[in-house]
Amino acid sequence: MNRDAIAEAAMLLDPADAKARQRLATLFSEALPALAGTAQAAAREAAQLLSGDPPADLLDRLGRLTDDALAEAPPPPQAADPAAVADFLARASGEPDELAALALAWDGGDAEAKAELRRRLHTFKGDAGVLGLNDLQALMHRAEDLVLTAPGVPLQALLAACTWATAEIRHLTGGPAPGPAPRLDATPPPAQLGELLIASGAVRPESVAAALVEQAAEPSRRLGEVLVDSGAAHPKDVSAALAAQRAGATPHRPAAAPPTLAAPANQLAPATLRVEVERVDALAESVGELGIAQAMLANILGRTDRRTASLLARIDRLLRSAQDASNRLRMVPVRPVFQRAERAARELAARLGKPIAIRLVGAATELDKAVAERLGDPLLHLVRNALDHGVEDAASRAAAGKPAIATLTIAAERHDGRVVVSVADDGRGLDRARILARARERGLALPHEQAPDSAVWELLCQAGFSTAEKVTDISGRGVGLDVVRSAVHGMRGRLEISAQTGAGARFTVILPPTLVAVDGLGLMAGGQRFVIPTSAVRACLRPRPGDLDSVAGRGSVIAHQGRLLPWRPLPDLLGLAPLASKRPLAVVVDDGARRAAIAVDAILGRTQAVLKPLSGLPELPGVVGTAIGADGRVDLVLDPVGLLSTADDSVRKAS
Amino acid sequence: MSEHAPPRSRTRRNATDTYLTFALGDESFALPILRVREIIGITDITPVPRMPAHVRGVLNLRGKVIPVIDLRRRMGFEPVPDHKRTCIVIVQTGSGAEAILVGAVVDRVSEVRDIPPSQIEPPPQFGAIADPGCITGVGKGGKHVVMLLDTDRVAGREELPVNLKN
Repeated sequence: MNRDAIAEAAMLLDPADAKARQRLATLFSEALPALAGTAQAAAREAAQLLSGDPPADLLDRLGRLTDDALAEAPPPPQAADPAAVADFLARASGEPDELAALALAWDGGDAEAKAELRRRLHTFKGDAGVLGLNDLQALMHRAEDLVLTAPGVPLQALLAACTWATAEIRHLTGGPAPGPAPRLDATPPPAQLGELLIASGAVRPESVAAALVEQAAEPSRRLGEVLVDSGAAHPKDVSAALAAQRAGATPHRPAAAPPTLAAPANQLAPATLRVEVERVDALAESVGELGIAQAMLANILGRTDRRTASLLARIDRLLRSAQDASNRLRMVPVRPVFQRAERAARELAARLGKPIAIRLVGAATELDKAVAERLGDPLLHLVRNALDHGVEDAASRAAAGKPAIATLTIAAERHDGRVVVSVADDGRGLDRARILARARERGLALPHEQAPDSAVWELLCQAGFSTAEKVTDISGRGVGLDVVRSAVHGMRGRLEISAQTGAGARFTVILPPTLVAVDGLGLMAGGQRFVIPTSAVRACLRPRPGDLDSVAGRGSVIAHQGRLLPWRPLPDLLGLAPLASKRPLAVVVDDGARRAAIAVDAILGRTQAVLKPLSGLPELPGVVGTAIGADGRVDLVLDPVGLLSTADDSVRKAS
Repeated sequence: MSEHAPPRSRTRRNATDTYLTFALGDESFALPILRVREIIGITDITPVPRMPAHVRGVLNLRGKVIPVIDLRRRMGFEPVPDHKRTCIVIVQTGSGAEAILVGAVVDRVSEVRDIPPSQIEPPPQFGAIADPGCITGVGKGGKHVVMLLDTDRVAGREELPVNLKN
């Protein structure tokens, strides 16, 4: 077979010069018994030997002959470098999806997609082959063959190949083993009954979908039966369709595929660029600096004349869009983080013997790469907690009348400019009485009798609570929740817990979309300027004399919207120089759990701050970082959560 | 050209023997020149909460926010208000990934001076210095004796409070 192949290649070279032909033949015969890499090199050399512009189909044919030779060559004697394999798998995880998209585009009539598909299949196959992933290589080889030789578009076969490739890659990265690779066949599979019925207009697509679901529950029934029994289809239509199916009919397809599928390949897979994070950071930093310089310039020139002012305003707008663009560069989908959590959940569920269905929702939600990276561990923690402590064993679920398979939902969404990530289960939920009992046992400060549930759940996040050795005893979830909460706070986010006894629990992490910039409100207190993230500010107050009441031993309170809020001068919270003003203003700050009026001398207005870490200094409660103001001074950027918890401490100390 | 050029070692014998000297009150101190990045005039320093007294706060060094310590207080002298000659010496402490820039406020910068090891004596075990351990030796040979400071010890990470949460 291979000798024939060599002969054929040599014949194809006619009328190229005889020396090249001979050399080619030698190369091939030498390459055959040798290793994969050698054969490939030989083919490359052979291609170079051809003088002038060799016809494209010749090169094509040569490439395929080489691949045939490769397929028959013995596998590499040594296992491929594991690091190289890992690297390939990381790069390849999205490739099957993109290949499938290309196949769909081709099916939609895009001829360029076919060429691109072939090229990508070829590269993919080559990479897999070099790393000794033989099954993957062989399948991609067959897929490539199909692309070249099939009369029409072998869509089903290609999609099957992509599905299997995805499963195989997941398997190689620790997932379950996929079934045997599909046999790829160019002839389209017999038309599905449902498809034919829909095409003939006899049945509505929704009815078929419903029937398929029903059929999945009872595999012994045929689809036609289900449709007829449910009254969705007339028996006559079904038998006509069955006859057509046996006759090998293909359903009449709409002339053009839906627009998303027909989009040209370059729109399906936007051109991407791999860039080191440092470069993106450097750009973000420069843009940030530019913003500061522009603000300084505006300070100097802003009031001179109208033309200057309007030009400055324009520069400001441009800078803002540059800032947005550079922030977007750092955005990545949360999917990989979710998938890691999903894998961990499956493993743990298998180990615990708790059958589980995992739903990933909103995995395309984008967030800053740094946030995504730091989200990984807390998310794993929450998932483990849910499985270990939330989801009951089979007997308890049955006793509670719950479905045997528990559901774990990991979701992300954008809300109000923030990223909201949640882990929810339908397990046993949280038990207020038992948590209180355990907290009492551990000597933790208890909330009062009528405290809302959220105040009780808050106990779970306390370090003292989570060190309990057998949290499972109290149906609690204390394991590492304090760690989760501090990790979330470290990202300027917050953790919310909602649960009902017996009906599952939801842990929600609310995060800023990025860590590099913050939309803030400038404040002045004790001669020093501060920035507080606007996301935490609920209102600004100018209290009249008499609005403030003092509560014995607890400092002052102020009424706001029917609630009494603690009144906390900012310098007192931070231990800095006292307020200068006799009639201070206040910002009402809310971190989700607590609310307080923080008194300041002046409120300076909104500002877009580029966050800089307090390098060399330890993390400070109440301060998340610094920003450089328009005058070049360093402003402290406040962290509402930390600020309010110091406020709490001061209350406790005072009482 | 290269043959007739004077050997560089004549002008700068050895950078490791070169120091920046400065004054805190009436006393002379020195830091190794290899650790000194630049010297800037006194500028706006933003106070940072819950820091020990010798940490003045942070400043903006061309877009980088770096901590500033008051070397007078660090060495146990009474603080004085800033004046015309007050300077901030920017030094690098630590090395590799741990390297950070720190500003050190001094009363007056004096000169760059070579102090070879032969002119250095061990530190005295007395005096009004708060932390004698940060003096690596006493340089002789000039008009005044100079106390040589250990950069990492006076301004390093360990000097900046590590955990304020407790």
